[in-house]
Amino acid sequence: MSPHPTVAATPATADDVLPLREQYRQEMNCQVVHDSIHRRAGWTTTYLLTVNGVAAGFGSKAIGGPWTDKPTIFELFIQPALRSRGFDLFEALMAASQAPFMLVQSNNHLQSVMLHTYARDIQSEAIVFQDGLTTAHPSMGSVMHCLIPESQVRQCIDARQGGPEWRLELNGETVGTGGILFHYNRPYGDIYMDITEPYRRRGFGAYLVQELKRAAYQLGAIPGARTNTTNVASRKTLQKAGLVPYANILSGTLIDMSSAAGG
Amino acid sequence: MTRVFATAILFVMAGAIGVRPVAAQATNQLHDAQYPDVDIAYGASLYAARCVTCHGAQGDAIGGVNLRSGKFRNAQSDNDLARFIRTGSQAAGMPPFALDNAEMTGIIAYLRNMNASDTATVKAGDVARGRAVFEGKGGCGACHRVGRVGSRVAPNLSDIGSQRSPGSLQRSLLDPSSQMMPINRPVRLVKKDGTVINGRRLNEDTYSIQLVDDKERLHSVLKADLKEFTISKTSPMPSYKSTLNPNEIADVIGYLLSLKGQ
Repeated sequence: MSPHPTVAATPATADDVLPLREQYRQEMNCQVVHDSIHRRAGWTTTYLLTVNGVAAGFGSKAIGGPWTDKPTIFELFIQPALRSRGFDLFEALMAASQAPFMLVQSNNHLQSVMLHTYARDIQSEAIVFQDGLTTAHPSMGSVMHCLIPESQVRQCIDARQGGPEWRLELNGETVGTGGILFHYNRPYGDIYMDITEPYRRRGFGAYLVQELKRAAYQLGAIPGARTNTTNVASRKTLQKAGLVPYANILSGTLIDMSSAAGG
Repeated sequence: MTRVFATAILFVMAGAIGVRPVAAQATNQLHDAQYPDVDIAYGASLYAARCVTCHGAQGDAIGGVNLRSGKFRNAQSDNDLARFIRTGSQAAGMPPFALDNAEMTGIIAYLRNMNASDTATVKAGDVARGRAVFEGKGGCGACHRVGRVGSRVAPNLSDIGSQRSPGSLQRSLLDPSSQMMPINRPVRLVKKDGTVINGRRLNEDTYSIQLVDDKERLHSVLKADLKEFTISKTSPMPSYKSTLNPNEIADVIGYLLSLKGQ
């Protein structure tokens, strides 16, 4: 390769980069929190990254939903053999996309490097958890009821949309509710739950998450979860149920390289 | 009683070992006291080594906390500040720091004067002349990048003016290692197959490290594949103390302060 290869970022469709996105998902090998955005019409713009005209990777910018007025680079993949040219390719992506913001899942090292190199005001928006331990918390007399029939659950999984919800009951009263969302990359399912106030701090939350993990596996999914960085109670509950943090969702403001000449 | 006793011990220690007598004064003075320059300077070096990673060079890297404001939510007096620094705050995510009394006096002196010490004593010169020195005599572009020009071997300076204070920039030019962020430390990796990679650390987690080498190539290496992993605390950047005269230093500081990205 020439010491000064020609790098470029050109607009592409999500289908154009699908094989590269599959490589990206395989490399991530975890729940990719913003994977579903591409399926929402008008929410993303995708760029094909090339070196000397050869496909090297892709980058994606979120422009819809919560990002309507906040164009944000949220995906970056460069094939390993060309990754040493990552800075040139990312600068091309920044120039082509004109995105002022960036969002990364911190276990993606390539994205994290670019965030730390080109962004400022970096902060964590959420902590992402994966399953680490199998726990055996007692039910304390509570029972779980799934609120939708199994056929509907299967539809949610197949469509990668929504998911089942359960109610945890004790003596006929609702202790809490929780569920699994399947709009993530296969085979991951995202656990959420809420315990009603009188039953908090008694171990029901950890039990509910533990049982939701079990349900996820029974449905052929790998459980994951997220929580706000400031929600200490939620973080403790997830960890008590055997989930362990493995990434942060980090956001930052990209430096405008074109206006940075100074002087 | 305890306070008097502690003060007495500090004076005895200062007299006995003869180091930093000013810094060894007790830390229970009120926050409106005069702080000696030597304490402020000592505190600045401690801040750069131990606090800057979280609080940033400007003291405002943590949301809702601006150390340069001189106001502290959890501390009124210097004693309060010392207690807070020593015990840390689990709620705020701040670890405890086991500073000795000289260090504590220095860090408090710097925190109380963070704003004034950096802006009042450092001269920022002419931006255009500074740019000329940066790109010419200083040779800074050989390692640093501004906008789309320059090397990526050293940290990108495109918005350094919004990240660093004048004092911090001056210290970087005169004593680069004192201001080097831990994440930017030079690393030397030796892989199990004997391959050696030298470069600047960009990112690191429990299992892997990413660095940029002197050819601006990005490397990502699993720690499990390494047989040697050395981190240096000495910056490869040369000091400009004897290379540039004070006016040129001031001009470069002026230029760097103008680099604010957008």
